[in-house]
Amino acid sequence: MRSIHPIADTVLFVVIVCSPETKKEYSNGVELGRKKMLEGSHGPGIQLAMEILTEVGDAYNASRLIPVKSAHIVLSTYKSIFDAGVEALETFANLGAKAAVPTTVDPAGMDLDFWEKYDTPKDYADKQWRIVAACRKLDFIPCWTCTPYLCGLLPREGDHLAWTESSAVVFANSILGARTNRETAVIDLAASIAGRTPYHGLHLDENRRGQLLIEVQTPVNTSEEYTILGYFMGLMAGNKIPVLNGLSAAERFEHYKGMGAASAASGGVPLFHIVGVTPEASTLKKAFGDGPIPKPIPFGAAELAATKKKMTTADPGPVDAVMVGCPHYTITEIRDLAQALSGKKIQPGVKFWIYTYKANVMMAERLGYKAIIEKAGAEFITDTCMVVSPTERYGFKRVMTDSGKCAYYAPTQVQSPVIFGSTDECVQAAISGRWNG
Amino acid sequence: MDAQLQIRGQAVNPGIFEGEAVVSKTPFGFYGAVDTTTGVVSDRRHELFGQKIAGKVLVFPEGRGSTAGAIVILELARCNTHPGAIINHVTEPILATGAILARKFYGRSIPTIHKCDKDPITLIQTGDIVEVDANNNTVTIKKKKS
Repeated sequence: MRSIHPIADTVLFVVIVCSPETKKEYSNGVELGRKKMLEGSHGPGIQLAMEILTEVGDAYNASRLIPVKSAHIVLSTYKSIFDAGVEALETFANLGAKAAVPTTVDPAGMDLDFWEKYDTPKDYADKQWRIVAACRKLDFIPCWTCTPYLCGLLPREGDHLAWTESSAVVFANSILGARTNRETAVIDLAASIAGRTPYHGLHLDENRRGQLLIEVQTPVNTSEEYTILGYFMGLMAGNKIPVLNGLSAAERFEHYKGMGAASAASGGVPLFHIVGVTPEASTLKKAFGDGPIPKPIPFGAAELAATKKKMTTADPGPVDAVMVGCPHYTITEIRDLAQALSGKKIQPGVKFWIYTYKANVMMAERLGYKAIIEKAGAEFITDTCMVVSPTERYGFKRVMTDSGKCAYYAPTQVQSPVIFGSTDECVQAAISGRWNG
Repeated sequence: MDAQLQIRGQAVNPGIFEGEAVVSKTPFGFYGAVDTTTGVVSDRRHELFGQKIAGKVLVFPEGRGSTAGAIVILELARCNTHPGAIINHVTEPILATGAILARKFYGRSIPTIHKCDKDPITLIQTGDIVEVDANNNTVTIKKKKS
């Protein structure tokens, strides 16, 4: 029998000790109207969503479904959702379903304006347009970004969410103190339509405590250092919840964006705590929920150097492409890049692709950064990223990135050996056309 | 061995299916591991590499890997290349989710049973004919591979 979270439900609580039958009905948190939704009084879309969520809740031993403040959907790129994902979206759209809570979408499988320029196959594009059309019918916010917390949704501490996208989940849980599991594709969709999700895992206090301790013993200040620490954290933690001790507050939130994304890629970190910094870790003791504190794993200068080396799989040599913006670049990161590229010229033949969401390019244009960046020979690609678009078609032999997440996925998703380096190292390689190790 | 050995377990997803068993002694994750158009295991690193799981009773200890496993099971169901039934030591929620979605969207039943009273991985061999009755929580080995 689980305890009832005080803020989780809206209407009426009836506490019953569960027999197997009553558990199936989620009767220990009875919510008026739920039964009607299941019976179809709110339309067939909500009915289907509720049927799926109820059964999936059972599979997870969830006591009930809880209302969520927002959803973020990963059924957004044809590259990774198969035809079944397209059909799932269309099924709900054709049933007349709409998002019951504000719902954003992850990057699409191509630049929605310039897809032809990037050699997107026509049949692939056709499937992507079906995804776009279904998302429009479902009233999803078309930000096409992995950083919904910068473009449409701002969760607050304690909010329950139904989010997919591992980098957004770890940011929302760790930095914002909101509560979401790493939802599965299609379940995120059902949760958006029903406005509810199964109450289990990271929605519950007892599952949010730290499970391993990393003692930071070397200065971590730059974006690059945070990203390497994140990658290390993922390798150490896997799916567990790491606690970082000895790390002061980052100068910029972008550092957490890159660190969390790396940890959710090299491992499956859904939540981390930084002692004295993040909302649920005011003290070391609190980060572990007043439970036992495990033996620390050191992260010193040696671990930093060894991890950076591990993130690169390519040998030194000519660079085919530099790819940045995973997660999507913020306007501040675009500004820094414009400064680094100002008056410079990227080696002809080297691609320099910057991934971000549409609104940032409009701001970069107004600020003059876009002109500087394009004059140097770099390009913005919006609505998508290197991981979820068909970049493997280019047959790159050596790509370079400042992203830990991209470094992890490039060998399989771009199908190219990868080099990880700081943003400045990426710029230098693009200008010289070589990475010298 | 008893030609009709019966094992009792707990149903995760309902339904009845009888077919040939494919047994893995190591955990198995669907994402990036199966050719969805043929239902053949495509992960070279896995012991089931090259084996067809479509229409088979798939026996493995537990799931592993990405949460994207559920959408792969759904795509297998769409292509009618899904396993006929699944038996695990412990069925991960992600696998159960895939089976639920397969039924809801494509009407495909993937009866799934776990937590058996005898070890299905040592008792069942690849090629055995096995009946999975997830409505009555039983697994019956009908015919051992000769």
